[in-house]
Amino acid sequence: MIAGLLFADKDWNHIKKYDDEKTIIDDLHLNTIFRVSAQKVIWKKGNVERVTGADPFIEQTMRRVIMAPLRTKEEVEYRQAVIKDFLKVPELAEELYELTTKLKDVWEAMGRNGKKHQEQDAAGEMITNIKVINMLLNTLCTVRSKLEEKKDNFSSEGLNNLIARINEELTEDKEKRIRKVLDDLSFYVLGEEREEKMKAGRICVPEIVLGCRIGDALRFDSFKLEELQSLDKKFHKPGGILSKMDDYKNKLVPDSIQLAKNPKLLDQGAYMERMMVRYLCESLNGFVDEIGAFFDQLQMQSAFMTGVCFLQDQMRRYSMSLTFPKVGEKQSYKFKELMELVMCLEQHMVPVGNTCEIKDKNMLVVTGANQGGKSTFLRSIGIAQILLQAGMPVLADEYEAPLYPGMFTHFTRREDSEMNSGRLDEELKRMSQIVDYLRKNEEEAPGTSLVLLNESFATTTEKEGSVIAYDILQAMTQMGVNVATVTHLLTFAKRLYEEKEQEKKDKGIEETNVVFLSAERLDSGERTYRMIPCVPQLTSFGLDLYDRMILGKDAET
Amino acid sequence: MAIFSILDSDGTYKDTVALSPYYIDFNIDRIMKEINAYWKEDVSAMYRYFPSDEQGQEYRKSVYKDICRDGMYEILVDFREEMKNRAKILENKKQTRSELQKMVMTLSEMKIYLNAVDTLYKRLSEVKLESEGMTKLMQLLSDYVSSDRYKKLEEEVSAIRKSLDDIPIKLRYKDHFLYVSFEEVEGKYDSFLKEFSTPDKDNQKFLTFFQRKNPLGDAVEITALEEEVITIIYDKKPQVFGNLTRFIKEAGDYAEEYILQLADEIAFYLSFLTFERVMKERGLYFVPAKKSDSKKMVAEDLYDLALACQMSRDGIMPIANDTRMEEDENFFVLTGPNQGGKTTFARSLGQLVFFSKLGLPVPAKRAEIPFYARILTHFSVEESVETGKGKLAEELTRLAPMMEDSTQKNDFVVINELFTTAANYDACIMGKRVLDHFVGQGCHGIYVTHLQDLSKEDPGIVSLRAMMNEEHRQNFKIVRSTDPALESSILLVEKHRLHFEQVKNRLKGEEE
Repeated sequence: MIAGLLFADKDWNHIKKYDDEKTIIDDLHLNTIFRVSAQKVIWKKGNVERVTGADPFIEQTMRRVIMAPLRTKEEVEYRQAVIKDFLKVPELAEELYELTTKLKDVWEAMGRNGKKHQEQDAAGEMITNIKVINMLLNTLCTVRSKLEEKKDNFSSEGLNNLIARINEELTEDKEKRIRKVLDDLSFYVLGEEREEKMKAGRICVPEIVLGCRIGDALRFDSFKLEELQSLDKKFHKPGGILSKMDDYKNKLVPDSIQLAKNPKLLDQGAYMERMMVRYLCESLNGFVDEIGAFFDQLQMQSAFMTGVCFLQDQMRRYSMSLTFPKVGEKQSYKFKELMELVMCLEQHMVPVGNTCEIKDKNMLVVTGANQGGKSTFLRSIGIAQILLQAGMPVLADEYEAPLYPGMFTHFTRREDSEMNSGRLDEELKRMSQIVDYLRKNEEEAPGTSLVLLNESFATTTEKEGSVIAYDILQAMTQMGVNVATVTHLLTFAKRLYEEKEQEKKDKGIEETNVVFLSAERLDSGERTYRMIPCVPQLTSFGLDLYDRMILGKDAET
Repeated sequence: MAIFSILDSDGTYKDTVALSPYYIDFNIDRIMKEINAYWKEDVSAMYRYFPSDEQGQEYRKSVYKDICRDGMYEILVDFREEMKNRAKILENKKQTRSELQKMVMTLSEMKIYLNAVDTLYKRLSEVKLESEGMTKLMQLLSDYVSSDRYKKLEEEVSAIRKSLDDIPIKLRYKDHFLYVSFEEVEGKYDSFLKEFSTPDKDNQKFLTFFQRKNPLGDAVEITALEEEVITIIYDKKPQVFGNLTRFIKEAGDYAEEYILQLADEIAFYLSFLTFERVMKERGLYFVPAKKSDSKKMVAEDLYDLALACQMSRDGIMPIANDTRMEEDENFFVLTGPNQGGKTTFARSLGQLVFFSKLGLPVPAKRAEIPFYARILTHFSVEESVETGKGKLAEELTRLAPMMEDSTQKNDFVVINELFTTAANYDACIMGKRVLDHFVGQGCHGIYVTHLQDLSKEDPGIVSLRAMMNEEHRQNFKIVRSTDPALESSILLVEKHRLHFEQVKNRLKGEEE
């Protein structure tokens, strides 16, 4: 039985991650999202009373799920629908998560996964098995009733199917059978529980009926279990008069063997009892495995749902709300008031939003002055894209983009900023690694790769860096890879711009595959931190002037 | 002595033969490791005993040919498995003190034995067998299974076993009492539990709980509780146990010795066939060595099996060489560059003779090999710290016994780099003397050496060289060559690591 909250047809099992997962997390500071999603806001009269510490399992789960991109529109819509349902009843996600976590913790403490309790012997192990079966059965019933309770809120296929699957797995008949086995096993109690019962003057004893044959080595074999039950009866103290009367009566039965006459026989009787318990427990192994695995999945998947609900709740602190993005057409992007989520969460502020609509472009070149919000803009796209591909809502009024499971980031690193051949070597090495991944990804699913470059090749001269960037990016886009780059390499940007202008003229077309964006500056010189399409500018004004004049001169002559 | 052995035409098989030095020299120990691993049992001892003559070799070769026939392998493996199960019962008997239990075990032991013999005979009858060994075996089996003694044994065993099987036991356990009765049960609770089993686990291979676990305990010896129950049965059905006791006493030593021996000995052929099949799957090949009537020795595409075991794991095929020693030739003298495959070639020749002496297929595509009485080897070893002897002294100590008593005049000798620490002049003289000795004795063999002069003069000596390919890299090919001078200049260049490839690699920094 699958939990099916994340995917329609499968559970979380070896889901392919982003190839360069760690780099993406570092470059986009996604750890902040993982952490904040794992923190619950405690509200008091509309104000934040406190925020809990991050739940490590939720944090880890957010990372696992977010870093494994969905690959089709259907997958995204399926998961979005489930999340939307949970957002309607956010307490449900948390309840499921708590129930399953408690189950897992108790089970592990009892020695699941071979982590056996130190002093636990074989007898104790079977007691554990019985308890586990009980616990699984009861938890499954609780989960079912919790879901049934909120059923009216569900419009997603995921949650409705989950209820149906649980009902199918745990039919009334099956539940009855399992409870009968547990009941038949009730004679098998040890220690305090047993003593308590005896104090009350009762005792539970088993009655076992077996069939067998004389085996090949005289030892009996071909066993068959005919009957097994627990008999609740009055406790007669051994050696007491009542007990003696019982024995006397039993001895009169022909072909009876009194086990008490020989300690060896008594031991064997006890051994046989234990074997029967083991047999019954083992028969339910299939149930334990199946439901155990189901709860593992449900715990993990409800942890993710809880994280998404927590994250949405966090946004209330900034009077903002996440909205669900759409999977759009190839090479086209549309966003309205797209904001950088991590910046918001880290700096507790409302960031600048960007609005843009781009069609049929596979290269996005962002240029402009420092401190103009270029990098923030690129990261906001990266983060929104990652969340879209996790089926999650994003921080924007609207966001629509195609899916890029082959997403990569190549951001300049602080330690890179010094000019140093070793650093360029390192940068190129990272790029070369990306190229390897890209080749693989494009082979599997052409046109689904996106590379985000932030101030790449800053570790060499502007001129050299421009050549490197030009070659690599041109090669990539020509091979169908999508690229968005923030760059200070104006030689590169300008060269590309001029070539594209020429292409328009030559081909008589209005648009090419490249779009150039810059940070907006008002006439007053004030920065708005918004990105608008424009001609790449050279910051080194004098050189720009020189070039233009010389070029202009050249053009005239 | 047994009346029949599948390993030896005269039935003289004995399995205690000391380990010869060539086991290590030819890397036979490594091959044995593989053979044992695939057969899952140590059969090394069987590979140390050779038939005493040519006839014995041929006896084995024809048996092996029969065993390679369709279905034979399975027939014999099954037979052996059954006989192993029987041996296990014999072991178990030692673990019980109950005489009654020992008797019931003997009954099972007989049942397995009879079944194994019967099945073997029936299945072998359907195969066309040609070898002397297998034909003889079939004759013996045929006589045996049709004998009155055999038939009577079979009848009584099954009758007594049936009388035991016909007793249904029902045990009711309650209040520390066990109530015994004799009636069939359906296993109602089993059926109830079965409904929980998941469909995929429910296939035939899945053992039920009671098949894995005996609810009365796992000991071999009968338990106190079972003894109590048996006592009750004994009272009810005394004749069943009476018949059993009488029969076991009368039957005594019921098993034929040659059949028990066959079960052991057959492992020799089966283990090699198992190994051969695995190696063939990896692309290697074997061929039965043809008997050479003259003293001619031929091997085509001969390879080092020990090396091939390792390399073929990664899909790499070993270098194969053709080799030929004419009637009037005695000894190969092999020279060539270091790491050129000289030792490997010497080993492959050694393995060729070894497997042919065992009567098994050899690692080549075609082979014709005369009968050799013994295999003698001398491989140079690291200076021994323990003995404290110098290398030369150590070498001579090992050489002396080899040169003493080669009276049979048909030994196969493999010498690998003698006298490397002696001065060149001395080494040549000593080497020549050693060579002359073995040639004089009429031995065949190979002498691997860096001494160029050894290969000259004697017409019985064949000079071989480890070759290099066009790029002057070793290609591990061994060819006949009478003019080593042509290559000595190449060797000089190589010595100074100035070949094209070498220089290139050095500049690239790829050389170690």
